[in-house]
Formats: sequence, structure tokens, C-alpha cells
Amino acid sequence: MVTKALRSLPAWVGLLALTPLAALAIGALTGDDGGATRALAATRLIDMTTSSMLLVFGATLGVSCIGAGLAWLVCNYRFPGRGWFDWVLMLPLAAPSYVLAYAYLDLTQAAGPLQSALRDATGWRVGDYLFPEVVGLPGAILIFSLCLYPYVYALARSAFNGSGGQTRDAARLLGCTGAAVFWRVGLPMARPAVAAGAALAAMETLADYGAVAHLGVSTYTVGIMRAWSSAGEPIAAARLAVVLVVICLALLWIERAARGRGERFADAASSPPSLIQLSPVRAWVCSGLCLLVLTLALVVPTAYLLSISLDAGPSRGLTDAVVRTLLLAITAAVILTLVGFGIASATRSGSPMARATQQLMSAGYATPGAAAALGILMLVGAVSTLLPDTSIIVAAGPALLIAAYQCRFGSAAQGSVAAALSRHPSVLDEAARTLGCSETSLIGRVHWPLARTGLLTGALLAFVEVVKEQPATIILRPFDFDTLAVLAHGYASEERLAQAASPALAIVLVCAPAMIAVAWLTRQRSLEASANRPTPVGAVPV
Amino acid sequence: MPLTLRQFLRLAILAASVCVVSVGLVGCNDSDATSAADDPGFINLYSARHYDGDDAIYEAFEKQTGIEIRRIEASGDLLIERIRAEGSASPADVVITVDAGRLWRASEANLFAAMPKDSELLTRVPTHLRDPSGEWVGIAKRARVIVVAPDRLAADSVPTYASLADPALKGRLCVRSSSNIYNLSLLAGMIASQGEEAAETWARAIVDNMARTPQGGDTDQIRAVAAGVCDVALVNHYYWVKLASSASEADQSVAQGTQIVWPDQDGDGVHINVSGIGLASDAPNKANAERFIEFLLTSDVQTQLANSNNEFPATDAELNNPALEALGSPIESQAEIWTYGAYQAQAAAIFDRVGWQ
Ligand SMILES: [Fe+2]
Repeated sequence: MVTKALRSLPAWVGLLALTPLAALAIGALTGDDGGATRALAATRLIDMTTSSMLLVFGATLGVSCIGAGLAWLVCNYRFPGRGWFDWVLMLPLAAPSYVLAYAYLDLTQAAGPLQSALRDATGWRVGDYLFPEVVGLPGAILIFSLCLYPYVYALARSAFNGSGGQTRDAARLLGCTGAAVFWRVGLPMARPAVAAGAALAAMETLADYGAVAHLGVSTYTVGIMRAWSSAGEPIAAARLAVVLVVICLALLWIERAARGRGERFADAASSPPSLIQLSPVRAWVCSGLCLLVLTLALVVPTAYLLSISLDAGPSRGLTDAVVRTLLLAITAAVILTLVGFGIASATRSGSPMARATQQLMSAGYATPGAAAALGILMLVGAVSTLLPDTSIIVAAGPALLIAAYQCRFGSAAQGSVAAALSRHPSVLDEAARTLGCSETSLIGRVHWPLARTGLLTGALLAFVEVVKEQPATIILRPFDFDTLAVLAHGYASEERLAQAASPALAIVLVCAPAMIAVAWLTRQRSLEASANRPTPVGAVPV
Repeated sequence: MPLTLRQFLRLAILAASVCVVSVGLVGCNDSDATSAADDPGFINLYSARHYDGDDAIYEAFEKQTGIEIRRIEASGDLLIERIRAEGSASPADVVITVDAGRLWRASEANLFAAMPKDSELLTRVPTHLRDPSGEWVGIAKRARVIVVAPDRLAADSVPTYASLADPALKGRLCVRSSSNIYNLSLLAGMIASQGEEAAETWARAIVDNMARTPQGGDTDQIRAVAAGVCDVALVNHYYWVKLASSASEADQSVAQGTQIVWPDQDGDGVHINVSGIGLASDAPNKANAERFIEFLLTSDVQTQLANSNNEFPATDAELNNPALEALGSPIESQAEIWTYGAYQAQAAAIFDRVGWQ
């Protein structure tokens, strides 16, 4: 009885962490918004929705092309630096989109260093020449494509490595050119993986506020913040946020349905293909492409921020902020991963409640951070009347923050664990049960070892997300608890980019080792897969 | 060495408790431990100001009184929402925002208590910079000004906010997004003084005159004027002063290529907004909070507070900021600044109607 209750604990925690969304929905349905939603709907909401849709379309296309293209090169061809690019290409996920937006707008705008130098050199004036400024919708599409392509890259790489190698070799023997093999064999097999990665990128793009606001794109999320901040109507913001979450869930459902059909292809799994030797020119073109993406996504923005931060020096409290950020993100990552493991394990054992929680949790990922924080505040508002004094709220501060992270990123941690578990056939569980393994020891002796790499990957991804997270951290953090993301936002909102640069760079530096570890883990996994061949299992490429 | 679940759980619990304890230590310092009768205690400050210079002022207060200041910094809306949610259990003692409209909103939501009326220091702030019912008070003033590139547009051709609506300026004006509070308060002030219709007509004309879709902050608009993207911009004065007094040569040349125009000097005077402070209605450390508010209004601190962001003191304290003084002393609008809050939602609706992004 007790053990059964313990086993369902993670699912309860997962559900509990979603109550802010319920509070948001209840507020949206029952509250009074002073007519703000209607006023916005009558004026700019359609434009905002349209630009959100264009942005998501463009960014999804961008991450798919860059991510799948690079993964194809790395998995199929021999070229200089291939082994290095293989994992370094994951690194851009360490840089938050708002950091890229700060750097690129400053660098490329008419008053920025590039255009100023051009004008000085040529004597031209603004308007005499064309220059690609990273601003507006195209700029935002570029930023998100560069920031988020590693989602697609990682999943597509596992898919290309893990399955269909022999099919591709066969296609080549039958005379298919490289491009034809990609379009006719490789891509159809990796399509579910590409779609899953693109879906993650799409949700992150939809929920973003920092980068789009800075680049002057009026998206739907900007509308949510306007309803809250300019019109002073949090209820209107809640309504718009709930609609956004529903749309995201629908997108996700479509993606899952599509993946379900794709799995049949992937079942033909076997070995990674043998690497193809390219002519020197082509090989260098491959290296150049990889290097170009890496330069644009990471080298240029960090180098630029470094150059301006050298003038300003490190911002106040930077080392304290690094320590706090690490403590907070490590604590959150451990908790999120343990909860995720509990839910994934219970789902595998057939608990309907865990399965339902698992699916509901993706709603949190699609919620803009500020809306999740608003939900938590609504919840706090509902219970604060019952509290005797302030000390409880102060004491509960860190817990609320962790709850916000569980709400937003719980599904990311859980997904990695579940994916690791799903690579092993459920006959293992049945065999263990037959051998007298109890349900409880099944968790520790079968599921835990099977999920090992997934646990680490999940914890690292949760860590990176928490370090980068801005709005919920800003509003829910305890007193005197500035993290790196909070510092960066504070300076940037006061237009002191030079001072914002050092915390922004520190975010990248803190996240980079975690991303390297993720890249290394996923590579280990594909090596394992090829060492164990032929394996009839490992059906799901994620 | 593969870890079993049991070993891992032990490790994780250990690690988590270490983390939680250290988070607690870093977060709350050690003042809870001291319970001596003469402990002056602390205040919980919710602030929307993020200026490094303010730190020195807070430290001076801590040194002088022994009262510790615990801070949360975020934008005004988020702070107000947090206090509203925390309700009567809120630990907030004082709230600082960088806009009068936010203070008005907090006051409307009954989040503020009246400040002591007999305080001589409070009355040093002119009445139009205070809440009529005495729940909040301005502590530093900023002006919304016009910046021109004098080689392309004569300063005297744009002497008023109204002159920015001149069709001759089509495609020559830079201004930031209307989501920004500074623009909201400016338009709210216009609604209060000239009515909704006039304000909407003006906003529509501004959109027609824009050189580009709003992007970036006020500093970006000034830089755009210097670079030649546009000839005139609408910004807060301290951003220009910061560029002019910057150590960077690039910033200085931006300031040299542009010029501040104080608008409406023959009329109502330049639009003024404030950083302001309010006393939270359920302040657990009320006496300390009142001491803090009074401290901020003393003459020396007023000068220091204004200087930390190149603003003007809210009281008649001296300025002592050569870069700002060089710009002369503008005639300031005497509009009741609480009206910015009252008309802010209307202003947002106008911006939406005229399509000011
Ligand atoms: Fe400002």
C-alpha cells in the first residue's frame, strides 16, 4: 500500500506542478478582463497571430534544414574536422535566443560597428546601400534557426546513425547519387526524428518573449505581455496564454500522430552506413558549411559580446550570480529528472495516471515563462488568504521557483528518460516479473539501469533550460537572489548592453559543458547501438 | 562505476539538501539568527530600478541605520502582480517603480498604505509629483525629450510634441515600441490634457512619420539619429546624457552628432515622469520602511539618487551633474502625474488602433 503510494508520488508531483496552468485556465474562464481581450482582438491580435505563424513556419523550416542537413553530412561523409563537428554542433543550444538577439541587433543595425565602418570606408550614407540587418521577422527567424537547430540535429543524428545504414548503402550501390539517397531514403526514415526536434523548436519559438520583443516582432506572446503590462489586465493575458497552450498541444498532437506512422520505417533498423570518401574540394565544402553555422550561431555573438564587455568590465555581483545559478539549476535538474524518471517508469509499468501526467506535462513546455509565473502567482493569491503571516511565503519562495521549472521543463527531463527506456523492449520487464521481481524492485533493478544515459541527458537539458530561463526566475526568485539570467535582463532592460554582456557570456559558459556532455552521451548511445548490431530493438529513434 | 538507484537516491538527497541549505544561506544572509533586542531589523524592497548607482545609496542607509535592505528587482508590473498575489501575507515593505502609472495601478489595487502626512520631508516633493491621497511619492524625475540631428533638421523646427506630427517629417522619425511604459505615459498625459481624440490623431500621425518599425530601446533611437537612419527621435533625456558622458568614443560621437530639444517650452513644459516609492499596505517592517522613504528624500540622497541615472531630484535638492546642467534647466509640465495611470489603458488601446507596434 505504502509502496504503491510512493510509486505514484512522481506522477502526483508532476500533476501538482501543472496546477498553475489550471489556475491560469480558471482565471481565464471566470475572471473579468475589463474588455481588454476583445479590444485587442478587434485591433492587432490578428496581425500578432499572423506574425507568430510566419515566425514559427520560418523557424521550423530553418531548424529542419540546418539540423537535418548537418546531421546528414556528419553521419555520411568523411571530411576534415568531422569527428569534432559531430559534437560541437550541439553547442549553440548553450546560447539563449535573447543573447543572440542582443548581440546581432547591436552588431548589424545602422548605428552598429559594421555599418559604421562601412560608411566610414566608403563615404556612403544610410540609404545609399543595402545591408542585412538582423531585425524584425526575418531577423527573428534567423536567430531561432541558429539557436534551436541542435534539437533537430541531435535527433536526426541519432536517427541517421541508428537506423537504415544498410538501406542507404544499398541505395548507393544501386546508383543513387548523394542527394537522391538523402531525399529518397535518408530523410523519409529520419522524418519522425526531424519532426520531433522541429516541434520542440516550434514550441520554444512560440513561447519566446525576450528575443522577439528586442527585435521588434509583434508576436502573439508580445500580445500576452501587452495585455498584462500595458492594459493592466492579467486576466486578458491569461486568456490569450490559454489559447496559445491549446494551439501548441494541437501541434504536438499532430506531430505525435505523424511520428506514429513514421515508426514503421525506423523498425528496419540496422547499422550506421559506412562513411563516404569525398573529393578534397567537396570535403572542404562540408567542413566550411559546418564551420559557417557554428560561427554564426556561437562564435560571432559571443566574440562580439566579449569585445564590448571588455570595455565595461564584469558586472556587479557576477561571481555570486554564477554560484546561485549553479545551485539553483543543479537542484532543479536533480528534482526534475527524478520526477521524470518516476513518471516514465510508472508509465512503462502501465499506470494510466502516469501516462496522463506525461501527456499533460507537454502543456507546460508550451507555456510562455511569464504566463507560467502568472499562473503560479494566481495560485499563490488563492492560498495566501489562508496563510497566517509572511514567513511562510518567504520560506516557500525557492520551492515555488522549482515548481515553476517543473511546470515549464518537466516534460523535457521526462522525455529524455522515457526515450531511453523505450529503446529497450518491454519483454525485459516481463522477464524480471517472471523471475520474481516485485514492482518496486523493478524500478530500481531494471528501469533505473536501463534509463541511465537518459537520466543524465534529461538532467543536463533541464539544467541548461533553467540557467537560460528569464521571466519566471525574475518574478519568483527569493530576496537578494540575482541569477545570471536576471542580471542580464536587468542590464539589458536599462539598455546597458556592455554590462549585460558579461552575465550573458557567463550563461553560455555555464551551459556549454552541459551541452558537450549531452553531445557526448548521445554519441555514446549511437556507438553502443552500432556495437550491438544486429539488434531487433531500439525501434524509436528518439 | 554504475550507480544503483538506492545509492543514487542517497547521493541526490545529500546533494539536494546541500544545495537547498546553501541556497538558503546565499539567499537570506544571516540576519534571522540575530534576535537581540537592539537588532534594527530589515526591510523588504521590491524595486523596478536597476541602476548600479543606487547600490551605494542602499549601502549608505544600511550603514547609517543598521537596517538591512533585502531586494527583489523586476519590472513594475511583475512586482505589483507578485504583491497582489501574496496578498496580506506579502513580505513587501516598500515598492519602487520607474513610472507613475505603475504606482497609480498599485494604489488602485489597494496595495499601498498612506504615508505619514506630518512628514516634513514628504512635503518637499511638489504635490503634482505625489499621489493625491498620499500613498506614494516621486523620488527622481525624468523628461521625455526630442533628439535631432542638427545638420539635417533644425532644432527650432520641432519645438513641441505636436510638431512631430508634421507631415514634413514623414519617414524621418524614430521611436521605440508602444509596449514601452515611457510612450504609454506620454500618450496618457496627452489624453489627460488634450482629450482622447487629439491624442489619437497625434499617435496616428507619428506612425505615419516613422522611419522604421519600432525596434530596440531609447539609446538605439538616438544612435539611429546619429547614423542617419532618421532625423529626429523621441527618448528619455538620461539616455542621451549617458551617451554624452560615456567613456566610449563611439558613444561620445553619437552625442556630438545629435542635440536634445526640450519640448513645449512655450507651452505646458516638457513631459515629466518619476521613479516613485510607495509603502506596502501590509508592510511587516513599517517603521523601518518609513525611515527608508524619508532617507531617500533627504537632500544629499536626492542628489545622489538623481545622479545615479542622470535624472533630476524630485525635491529642490541641488543637481550637481555638469553634463546634465549643461543642457539648461527646462520648463517642466506641472501635470498631475497620477493621471498617467488613470489613462494608461486608454493609451494602450489608442496605440493598438493606430498600429503603433
Ligand atoms: Fe529607462
